[in-house]
Amino acid sequence: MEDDKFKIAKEDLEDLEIYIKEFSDFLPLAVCSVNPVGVIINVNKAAEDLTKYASLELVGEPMSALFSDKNKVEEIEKEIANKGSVHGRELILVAKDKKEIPMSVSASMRKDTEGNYIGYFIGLTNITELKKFQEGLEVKVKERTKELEDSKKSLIKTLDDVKEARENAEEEKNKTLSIITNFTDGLLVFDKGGKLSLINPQAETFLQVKSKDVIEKSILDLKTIPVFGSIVKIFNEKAKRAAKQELSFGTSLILEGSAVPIVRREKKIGTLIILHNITREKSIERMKSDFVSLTAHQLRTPLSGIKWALKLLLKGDFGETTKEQKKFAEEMSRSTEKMISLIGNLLDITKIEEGRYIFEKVSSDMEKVILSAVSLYKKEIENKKFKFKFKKPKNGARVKMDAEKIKLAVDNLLDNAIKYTKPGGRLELELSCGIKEVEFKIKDSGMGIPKNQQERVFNKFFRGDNIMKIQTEGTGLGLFITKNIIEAHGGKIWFKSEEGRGTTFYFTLPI
Amino acid sequence: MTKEELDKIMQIKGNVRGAIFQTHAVYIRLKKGDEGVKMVEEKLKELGHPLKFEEVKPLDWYPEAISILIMVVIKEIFNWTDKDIFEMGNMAPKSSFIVRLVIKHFLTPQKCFERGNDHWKKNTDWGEMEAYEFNEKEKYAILRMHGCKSHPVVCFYHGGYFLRIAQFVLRSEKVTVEETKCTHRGDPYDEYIIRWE
Repeated sequence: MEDDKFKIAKEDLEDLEIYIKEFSDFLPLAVCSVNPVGVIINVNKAAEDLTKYASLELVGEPMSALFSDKNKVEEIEKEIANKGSVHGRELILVAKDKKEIPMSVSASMRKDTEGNYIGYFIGLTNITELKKFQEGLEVKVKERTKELEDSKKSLIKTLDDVKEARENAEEEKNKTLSIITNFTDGLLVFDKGGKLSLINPQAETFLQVKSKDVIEKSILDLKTIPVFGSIVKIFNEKAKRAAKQELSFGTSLILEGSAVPIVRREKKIGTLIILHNITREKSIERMKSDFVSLTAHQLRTPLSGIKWALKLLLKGDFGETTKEQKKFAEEMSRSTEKMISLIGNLLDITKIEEGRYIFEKVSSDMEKVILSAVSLYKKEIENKKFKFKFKKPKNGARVKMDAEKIKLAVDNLLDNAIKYTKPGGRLELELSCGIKEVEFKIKDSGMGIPKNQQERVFNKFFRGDNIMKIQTEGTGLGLFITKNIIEAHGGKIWFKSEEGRGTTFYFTLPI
Repeated sequence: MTKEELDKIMQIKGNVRGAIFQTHAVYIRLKKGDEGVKMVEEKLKELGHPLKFEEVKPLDWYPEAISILIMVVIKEIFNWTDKDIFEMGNMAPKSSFIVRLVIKHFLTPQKCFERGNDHWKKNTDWGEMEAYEFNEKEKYAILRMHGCKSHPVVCFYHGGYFLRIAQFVLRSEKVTVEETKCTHRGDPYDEYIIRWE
């Protein structure tokens, strides 16, 4: 009976051994049984597969021999003995093929029936994929961190740049303000809505206002301040383009006001009014005019006396003169006439500049005025054998004008054409009448005006280089006076010229 | 192998656990593969003592004579030396079911040494193991085997086996075993000195 029981128990034990072996071989987790001194006593199939060692190679070896960090294994073993278990410790297993495999290690203490420590079971989980994932994640985190750091650096750099740009702008602004403040011209800046946004100290002085009283005020509000009247006028009339206008503030202050549009990206964003003090220039100009006027008047009287005396001499009122005396007297008479003419021109210019060149406009026949001027040169035209033509409108042309001044203008143009055209040349005059204006044209085949000097033709004292070589006479004032006469009548004057081939002057007068 | 030799082996008394036969098979398979195991089985059959290793049950008792015959046959077939048998003995505890069962007794080297005879009794029903001396300071232990005179090949097998058990509990790479006395040389018992560093 006892033998039967023993036999059954033995069979059960053997079945149990087979069961444990099958179960252990089935386990996907690599498991080792380790004795108290750290020597492997048993392993399952998964442990063999993981380590690439056969069971017989593993059993009998220290557990630490399987790992790269033996000290760490020993620490874990101590911890198992003290605490009973460890979980999820990471170790590097060195397989038979020397491949290093990251492992997550968990172990649990084994005890006998008396509670003695008899070793431990250890489970090994291959965490290669997890590590790869972690490393990938770490790489991504590092990359992202780097990107963020780079972004941060860029941002800081941008902020630095912005700060620097702001400081530069601030500095520029300060410089500009300093320039504006210390500028000798008065400056007023209006924004695009017409509000005064800046007025510099010089402008305050000129206009005798305080910045705080006028700043931020609209142009309409400023209109009520008398001193701003002329400023508002410039702003309204000229704000769309740069323009200049003379502004008088009593007799002691004359300003030249310029309105300049402030444009950014082709869009007008405001208006700058510049007030330049021209009081001194005007004063000098006036003194100069006064001097010329006085001198001319003083010269004209004795010259007139000389002119009449010479006339009487030539007429024989003072007795018979020799042929040679007569020749010299005639020469003196011509020179006197020229001097009188020059003085006349100087006086005209003085009047023009002083605004005293008063015109008495009455309706006159333009053709008659022209013919009157031509008659003065009839003899000379014949002498020089010009091919002369005068084309005129059938029904005449009446213009409201100062006939004497227009005659002077035609005279100046005719004088130039005759003077600078060689004998036998062509001289063509043409008067045409339109609905609103008459146009007069005088065309010669003379020396022409050098192209590089054509801009200066209407300037005071201008004389072309080419005529200066052959004609020393002439004041260079005729065309200046002519232009002023035509423009004072509301007309326009211009010319076309080619050096060596002739010149054509045109002017128009409103009917 | 002569008939006299075979008869002499088969006259050896005593039994051993089937687990010992299983460790023999594991080692033969390790060194010579399944073909080697088959060759040994055929030789045993030829000698009139057939044995199928797969059919051996670890806890059953089998004649010690067959275990010794297997070792002698192995030497003959594979031309192995006593050193190979020593190695076989050394590998045996690694795959022994019995060792796994009793390993819990190997708490310390000294306990293991002192309880050596218990382990011996779980594997065999003959002879006695005497834990003669354990000197931890000098790092040696002396085992004496009484009534174990069977066959000289067994001395090599036991030497390897005892060394492995010592290796299990000492965890030293430098553990050696030396048979200092042998019944086959006229000594009254077999004596093994195990040394370690």
